[in-house]
Amino acid sequence: MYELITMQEVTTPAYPLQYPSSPSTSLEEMDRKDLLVSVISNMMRQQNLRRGFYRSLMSAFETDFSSIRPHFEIKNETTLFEERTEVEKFMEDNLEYDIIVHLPPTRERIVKVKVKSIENAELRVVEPEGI
Amino acid sequence: MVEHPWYEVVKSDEVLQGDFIKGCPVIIPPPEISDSEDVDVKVKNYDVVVMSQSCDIAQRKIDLVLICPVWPLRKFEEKSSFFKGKDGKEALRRGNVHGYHLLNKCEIDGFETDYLVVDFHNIYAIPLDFLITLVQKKEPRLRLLPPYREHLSQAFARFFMRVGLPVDIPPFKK
Repeated sequence: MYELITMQEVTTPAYPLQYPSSPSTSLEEMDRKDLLVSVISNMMRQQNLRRGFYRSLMSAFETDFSSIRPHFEIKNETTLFEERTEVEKFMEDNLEYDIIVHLPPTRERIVKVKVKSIENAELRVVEPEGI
Repeated sequence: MVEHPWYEVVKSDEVLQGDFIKGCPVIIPPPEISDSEDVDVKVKNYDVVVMSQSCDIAQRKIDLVLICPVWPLRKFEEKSSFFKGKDGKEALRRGNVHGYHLLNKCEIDGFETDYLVVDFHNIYAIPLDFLITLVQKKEPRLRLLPPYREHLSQAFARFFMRVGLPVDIPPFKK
């Protein structure tokens, strides 16, 4: 025999039961329970919507409930700006730049050069180790 | 089947990575240069391949261009018993000899070469303007084509970035 699962027994409120009636329950009971389930489901959906709305506002508040003196206030523009610059800083840190800075040598002079010889280069073989 | 030729012949002022320049003069200074005296220098001519990145050359982001000497494989065979044998040449072909990179023969009419070996042990830098003037005066030259060009560049990077460990992990016996 199937047992009737009611909304009160559901541990995950985000997933309301769609078909809670069992085939063994009477029609009257089914109607009553279905109605109850429907009301509870609607309430939960609204609750979730409300929670989502508040969640989206959470970033605008500065909260700290970790200490014995909890702190809760609306963020001012500076805090929001600081957050933004942190994001920008992160972006900057992760970009590569290809900037060429031509710097002069520490000392430059002209010397007279006498070419002693011009010759074709000779190969000097470096034999590998450990092969 | 798609063909991937190793080389092409170019006659252009544009210098790219993988361009071969024959008889490129490299100035060898004396061990010491004093202020008062004239400087005696040697000039050695090398057949070289351009190692600097093409984009750095094209956008003139560098003043000096890196070049490495290129030798025909038979020179290695003449000078070294290791490379004379099959094992040495096979190690070279497999890319297991750090500091040297083997390139294929060129069979283009008038530009035939032996297998070529690029020597990463001796890297020279020559002024870009000097190199451009040099290629303008020279005859058409060979150019290494992708992906062999990038393969050469990768081999150079591998040679340059290698790290010698003071204490290595001993080889496994079983």
